[in-house]
Amino acid sequence: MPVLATGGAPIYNSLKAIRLMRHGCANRPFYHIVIMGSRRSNKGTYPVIEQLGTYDPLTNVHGEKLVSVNLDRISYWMAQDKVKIAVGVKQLLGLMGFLHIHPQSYITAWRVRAIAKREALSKQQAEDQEASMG
Amino acid sequence: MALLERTFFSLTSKLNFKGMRHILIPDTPTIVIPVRGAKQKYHPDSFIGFRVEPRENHNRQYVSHPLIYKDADPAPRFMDARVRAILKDLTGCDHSKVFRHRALLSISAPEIVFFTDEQLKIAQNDAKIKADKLLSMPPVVKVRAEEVQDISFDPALQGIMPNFKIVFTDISLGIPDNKRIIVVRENSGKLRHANGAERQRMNEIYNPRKGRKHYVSELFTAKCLPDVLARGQYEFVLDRACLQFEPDEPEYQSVVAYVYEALDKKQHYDSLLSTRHYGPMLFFLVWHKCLNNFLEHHLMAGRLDVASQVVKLYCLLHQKSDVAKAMTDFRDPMHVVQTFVSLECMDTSARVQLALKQCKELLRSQQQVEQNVAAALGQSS
Repeated sequence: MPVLATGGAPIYNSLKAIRLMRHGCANRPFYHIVIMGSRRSNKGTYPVIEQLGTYDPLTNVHGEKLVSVNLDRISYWMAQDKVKIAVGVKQLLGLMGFLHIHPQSYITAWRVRAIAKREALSKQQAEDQEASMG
Repeated sequence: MALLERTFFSLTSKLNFKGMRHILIPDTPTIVIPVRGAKQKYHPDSFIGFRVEPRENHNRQYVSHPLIYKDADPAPRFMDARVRAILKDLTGCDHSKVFRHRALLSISAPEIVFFTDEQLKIAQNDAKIKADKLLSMPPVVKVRAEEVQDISFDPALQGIMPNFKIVFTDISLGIPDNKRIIVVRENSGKLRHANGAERQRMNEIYNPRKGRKHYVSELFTAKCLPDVLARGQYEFVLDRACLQFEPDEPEYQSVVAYVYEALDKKQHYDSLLSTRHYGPMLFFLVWHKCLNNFLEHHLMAGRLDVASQVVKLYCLLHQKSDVAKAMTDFRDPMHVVQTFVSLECMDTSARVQLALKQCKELLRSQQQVEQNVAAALGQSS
């Protein structure tokens, strides 16, 4: 019998999830995009069914964050029953143009813009105050 | 004891909760981007946390050279069977050079085997096939296009990635590097295909090749390359360039053009004989019409056949030139070279004409010697 990609761990016919699994070490996050039993925690070293990609959340010298996705296998797993996709992965796939853009991405973008605007406003006010004092 | 107590108290008073708060969290607000499973704190202006500082080798620049194949595409001409036949013919195949011991390969003692005539024939044939493989020329193609294709633009995503962009790479199996899907999402909400440099970087990360460096090797910088070339290590640099780059990269074509130019100045063409770089080097010289040194070198040595072959190549590559129009018959090498020199080298180089003159004299004296020998042996021509 061929050995499963899990390394021999059993796969039950239960809900599975495509999600980010934290690898790396303290203060240096690195994520694997994996498919695993949805009841497993994604924080420990639990057996996964298959690794589908990686996500490096720290910017490199060129100001890029790197995501790699095995689109063939992701399509395969999305076509299966009882597979859900975590929000983080949905956002990444949305930004990639593989899925629709996730609403959470729009919310995030809106928040960032709002905070930047508020900051600029408060900065302007502080400057005006200083000018009037001086 | 009293002293100890005092220091202890002074420390604790400094490290109260309020003080810690003040030290750890600055007044400026932080933004939490809620990617579940990947929570990160961002500062609106700059990334707080780890930041990879550029090392020295990230600032290095490859040598640049203006003579890269950027206007017309040389590939169809290079793939032309007649052109390849000439290039292969002129490269030659000296087995002692093709099969020489390379420093990097493991050294083994030569094996001595007794062969019958048939076995010897088979072995020689095998060696010929192997040599052909070793001498296969690196492709000469047009430099890659720099413009990138936009896929979509979503202004509602503006600001989602302050000060960075995300590069997505498809790592499905069985896809060649040049067909791999690589896209970039920018802060403005634009999704576009990756440009050449990004593609090359991603391919190197997700599909590394043995011997390739992920940083700019000092060998290819303007600091080191002239020294290496002054030592005459042309083949070494060209081999390394073939390993490091793809043929359509502007960096590859610049490095290679730089080497060819240095080699052309010193007329060290023979150092590339029986290597895979001789053909592309000759193609480069003919394509960019810098043949004066090459012709001078070979005419001075009396190699008229080489010169005439190169002129033939010139006619194939520049079919609209005066020489190609004037040339009808390639049978007499002297006539071919003379026509070329009179049409192309008239203004540019007097040295080529001088070399042609010397070549003529050399050939005449050789003929004279042959006649004298024949006469001395009592043979009449």
